[in-house]
Amino acid sequence: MALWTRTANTVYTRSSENLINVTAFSSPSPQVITPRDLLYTFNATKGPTNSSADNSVIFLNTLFDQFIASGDDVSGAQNYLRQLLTFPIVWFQPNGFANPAADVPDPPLPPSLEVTAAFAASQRYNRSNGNKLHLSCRRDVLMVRHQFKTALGPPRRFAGNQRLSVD
Amino acid sequence: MFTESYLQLLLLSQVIPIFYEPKWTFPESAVTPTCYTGDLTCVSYLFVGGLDAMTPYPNRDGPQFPNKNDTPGADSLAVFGERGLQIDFWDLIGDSINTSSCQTWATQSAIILCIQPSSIDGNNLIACNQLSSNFI
Repeated sequence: MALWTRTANTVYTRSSENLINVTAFSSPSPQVITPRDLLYTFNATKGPTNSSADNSVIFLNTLFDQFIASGDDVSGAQNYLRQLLTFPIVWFQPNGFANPAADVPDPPLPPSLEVTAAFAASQRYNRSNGNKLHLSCRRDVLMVRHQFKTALGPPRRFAGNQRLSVD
Repeated sequence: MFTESYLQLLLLSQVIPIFYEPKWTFPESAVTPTCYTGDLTCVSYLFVGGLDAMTPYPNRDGPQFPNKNDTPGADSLAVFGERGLQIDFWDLIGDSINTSSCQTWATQSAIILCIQPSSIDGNNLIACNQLSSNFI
């Protein structure tokens, strides 16, 4: 597996908040992630490595069974592993736990995650059939382009054998 | 600060939908060159923030933004230059897992997870778990 960062223009529908189109991709920039970065999160989640089976380990085994039941043995098991490894990358980065009620990013985010966005009208779009998305901006609703902080930053780096702060 | 139980809940609720979450996951073509050697099957996803990760939250009620229900001309939000994380996966070939890279959790119903840098390209990771005996 390999990790990259890149930018793109994204379009979300406001009713379902679904991501409905992605265009204008930038060139990808490689991101180095170490085994320690991934294992760090799992250590915090699953408890000490020498403990008896706890709830999370039992649940993860149950989860594995669900993946196997959902497809063939190979793809189900492979997807389980891939999705398990994706979890810490997506969630443990600077914007993984945003507070939607905040007026300013909480916790603070770096300037590199600042973006510009505009409200627009979309015509009916079906993501599954690949129809082209049509966007139009009416003068009375376009308003001023708003500054937001969003997007995902590089994965969080962890040092040594420290554990996530657990109460 | 996260409690262990919160992290467990997050893990168990997010692993299954993470490739299919319509709010911030987008299937994309892989960009890693290794992925295109031989007949490897590449799988790739772009993860972006989604509206939930935007500050200020664009669907918040109030005068700041056009109401999503009352202004049909503003039913969408276009974000310019949003940064995302793209993860490429492919089948393992010409590489092998060293058991020293494995970690085990629990003693019963154990999970064994092995992750190490690829010997072909150190920027890539290879991994397996004992349950699946499958490699990525």
